[in-house]
Amino acid sequence: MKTRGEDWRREVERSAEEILRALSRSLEVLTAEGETYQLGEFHQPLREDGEPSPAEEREAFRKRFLSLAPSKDEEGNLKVEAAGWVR
Amino acid sequence: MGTLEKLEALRGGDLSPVENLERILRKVEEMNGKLNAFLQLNPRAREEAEEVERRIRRGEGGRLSGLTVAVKSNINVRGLKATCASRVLEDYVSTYDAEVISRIRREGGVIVGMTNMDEFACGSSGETSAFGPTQNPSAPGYIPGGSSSGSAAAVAAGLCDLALGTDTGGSIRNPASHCGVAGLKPTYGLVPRHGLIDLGMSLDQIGPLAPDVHGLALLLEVIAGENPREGMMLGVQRVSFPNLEEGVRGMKVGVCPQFSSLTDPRINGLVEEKVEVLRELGARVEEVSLPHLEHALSAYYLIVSVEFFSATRRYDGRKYGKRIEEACGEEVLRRIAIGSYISRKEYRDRYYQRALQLRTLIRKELFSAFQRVEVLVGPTVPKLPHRLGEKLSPLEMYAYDYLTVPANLAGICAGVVKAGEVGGIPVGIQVQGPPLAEEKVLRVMRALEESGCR
Repeated sequence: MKTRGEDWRREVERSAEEILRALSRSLEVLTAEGETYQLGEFHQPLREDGEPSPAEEREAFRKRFLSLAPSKDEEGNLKVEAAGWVR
Repeated sequence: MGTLEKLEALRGGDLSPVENLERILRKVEEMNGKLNAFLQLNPRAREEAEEVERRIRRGEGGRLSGLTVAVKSNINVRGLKATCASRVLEDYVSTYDAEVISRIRREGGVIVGMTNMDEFACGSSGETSAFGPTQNPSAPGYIPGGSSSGSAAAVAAGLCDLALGTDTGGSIRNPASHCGVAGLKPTYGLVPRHGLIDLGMSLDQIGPLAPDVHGLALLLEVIAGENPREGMMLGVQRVSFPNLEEGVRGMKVGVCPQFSSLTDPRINGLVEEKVEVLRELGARVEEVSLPHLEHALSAYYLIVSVEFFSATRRYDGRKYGKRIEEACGEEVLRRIAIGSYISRKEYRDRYYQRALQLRTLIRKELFSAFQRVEVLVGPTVPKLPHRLGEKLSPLEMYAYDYLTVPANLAGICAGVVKAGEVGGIPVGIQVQGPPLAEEKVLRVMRALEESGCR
């Protein structure tokens, strides 16, 4: 990486923390919501009828997927090996 | 000459594709040194125009019949450089055509060249390109907006007939507004993304820029529609907009106080005049509230930071160009470092997942507004563009995106057309519609365009 001073690193961290703080403030208004990834809820290209999969089907898939996962955390999330660039 | 008149001249033989290209190239030669809108011209453009000329003689000119198209430098065009306006990819020559480029060629479009942009689309001003900033031809001395700066400037200066841009958080609409041209971010999943060098995979869309709304509609008709090679498309085979002149009589148009509360009053003044025009043309104007709109920006910057960081990991110096951290500019490096910092915290605090939940809230709110009205009309950018070279803090720069990011978060369509000018600087009005409501959005834009600007 290009050489950058301590000031630059601190400025970046301040900016990143500001993004996280702004998000945290916004999350205060949030009631339970599902996540929106892309617009898969309008059209599911992997299904012949193109209809979005029902929530129960997605949940069942998640359970099956995690049952096959090599490693999970205590909340049932898939654990993967940390990449080299993660300090 | 408007896009449709030029198309008629090309089809009727009054103007040949080669003549059209040569006129365009003369203008490029005359103006590009100053504007810096193009980074590379297509050396095969004349050959391609000649081929289209032969096709027109055979009655196979296609929908574009020799219109010239400029392409943002983050879309692959075989044989041309897709640099993303970065030293990282300065020697990267595309080995294939993006799906949208294949469609443009099939319909007789002639690719003029690759346009300047903010480096890796990191910016809203057109100033972060490694190859120098783009000038705003409509307001000299001011930024053209970004990140599709070169595409908007090329359209505004007449250096192409139509252009492709990409929009992650407003990158088509923002420069369209500042340069006084028309631009449209299509519904997510309507236009193929194959061949696009992405910035934020869940937000990016390729879309058209044009001197007029008919030009936008024409290019969108050409590039939109299902691509079987892509998973995230909406299954729409093709689109067609034959009713753009039908007007807005009886249409329910929404205005939202949250759009105007943080916007420069001079911009609001122009927007209000245009809303009045729509009312006079027979639209039913209704106020709708989007109480959580202000949270869109915080969700957007979290999502885009994480997705951008992830997208840049492929530039490790082995396969594509140079190692990004060693060759990129300040703003890109800053955003990589921010994305890295947030990604490190991600596992513990699940910020990305929570930002996606916030995104759902914004989407639901917009969708609920679209239950009451057919389109939403409002400002595009909350402030006038700054002077080229003026220093802004990152947070001031992010404020440019405040009114455009909700459409990307919700995956809806949104277009911009010129509303007027403030002190000689163009100002665009934004029209947003629900998913796949491009026809309505374009109809409203056409009515606004037809009403003229003061």
